[in-house]
Amino acid sequence: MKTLLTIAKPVSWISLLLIIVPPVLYFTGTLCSEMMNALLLAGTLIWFITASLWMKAE
Amino acid sequence: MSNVHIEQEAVEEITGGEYEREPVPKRAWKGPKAFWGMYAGEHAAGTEFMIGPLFLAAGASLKDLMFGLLLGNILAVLTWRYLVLPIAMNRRLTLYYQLEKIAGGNMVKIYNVTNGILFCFLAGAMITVSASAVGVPFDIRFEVPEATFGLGSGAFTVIVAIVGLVIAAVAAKGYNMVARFSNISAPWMILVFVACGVVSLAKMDVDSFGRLNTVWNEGVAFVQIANGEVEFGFWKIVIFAWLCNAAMHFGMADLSIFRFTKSKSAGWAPAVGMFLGHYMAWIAAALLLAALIATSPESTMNSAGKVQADPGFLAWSALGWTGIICVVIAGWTTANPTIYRAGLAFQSLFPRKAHRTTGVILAGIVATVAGAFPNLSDQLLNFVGTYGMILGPMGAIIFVNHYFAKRLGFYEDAAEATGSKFNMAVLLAWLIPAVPGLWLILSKGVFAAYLVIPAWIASAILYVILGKLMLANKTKA
Repeated sequence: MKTLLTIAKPVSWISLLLIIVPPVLYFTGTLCSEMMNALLLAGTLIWFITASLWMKAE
Repeated sequence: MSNVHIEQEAVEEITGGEYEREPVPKRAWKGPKAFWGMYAGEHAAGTEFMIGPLFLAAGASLKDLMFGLLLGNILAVLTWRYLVLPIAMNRRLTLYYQLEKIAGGNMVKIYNVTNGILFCFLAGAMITVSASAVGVPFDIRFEVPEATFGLGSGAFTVIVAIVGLVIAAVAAKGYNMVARFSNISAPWMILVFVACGVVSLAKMDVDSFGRLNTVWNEGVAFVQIANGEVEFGFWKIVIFAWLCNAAMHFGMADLSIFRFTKSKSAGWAPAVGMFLGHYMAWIAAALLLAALIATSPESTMNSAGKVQADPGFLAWSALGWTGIICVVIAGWTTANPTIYRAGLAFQSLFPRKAHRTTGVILAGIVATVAGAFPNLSDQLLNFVGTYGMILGPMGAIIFVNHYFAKRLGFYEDAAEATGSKFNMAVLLAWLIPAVPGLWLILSKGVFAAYLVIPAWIASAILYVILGKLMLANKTKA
């Protein structure tokens, strides 16, 4: 459990990159809307799962 | 928009609800970091999805919006720093205990219930916001009817009822779980607002400020053709941005927050909330509407041919499911503690033997009924001004009590000093400006935020006069 919590924190912060980078790539024209939406959703799910683990523990 | 309930909640989270009837002792004081973190999360909430697009719908130009919000938010931060913080650090009491000392316990009950009713309307607007997102996958749209108390479609009203009752049921269980969920969602939600802005810029093919300005102006023109001409100029934006949280700064609700501060620098902490929530998030949410008008203008119109800000659909159009999740969570995490707080205020009306959740359930029902009228959330710009105009004057009374009562020869903390449960001078100084103010807003259509400072000043002057007449400290004379 301790290992899981240790991993959860960096993973959650990295998952936030999935909220901000895909829109920037969409803005520059390197990503289509569908792919951006899928990555946003993935980032959202990863954030809520991992952040709830370590935030609860803290 | 910030919400006092979330702030109170955050304080209680830090302190476990301690020191409600005593000054916060030195050992419980907090460093500035706690305040910066708290304000950062609180001001990017469900209301932002509604307020941002309303600026465009109200005809604000992009330059006025950018510079007006900048100035208004700076003024708001200065008000927190120089009006609220010094009194909070000097007295270290909650707003409610401070008011009880001045106004008496029974008078505070009236204030609490008034606050509770306003909370219910705010929660109602947030229920509407959440329902607007829940309806998107079912192709059920949020529509604003002509009549103030007109309902949306039958299906939308059913969604509002379900969302409202679920929120009320969760609120009745207490707010700890929702508070934790709010904390988890805060960093993510701030970034989703940034994403809304970036994606909207992409959808509008913006490559320069000139291009953005052109698309924005086209959007404003489109709304004005459909909805009729309205104006929301620079100074109106400044006043709105400054005073939309008037209940918290001019009204001194944030005494309850700053009573914990170790240093004066915490007084600058609202800046992070203002510039993330009331600048970046408002502009990003406004860009959602501009982008939708630019790409799919017909989808912004209701069945009566009027443009409306449908937060759920706007977020869906930009970010897909993430947008929907964000609007639902933003509305829910704002509405839930609001209903809880309103419930606590209403609970004082019931006999002591009444079940502890009676007030919360009543608040939830009132908020759900309010949420069924989409015009309420559509009028959010005016509602938050009304909220500040009604509650702000209490801050003027606290201000006069703190700085002038002793000097002018009347009782400081008058109710406590005289053993009164009801200070009539406070009631008169509060209502004499607030009631005509409310009449001007409701009957004459005066923009509510314009009345906040006049009502505050009038209350301060009245409390000085009434204090000298009714609360003269003869033992000192």
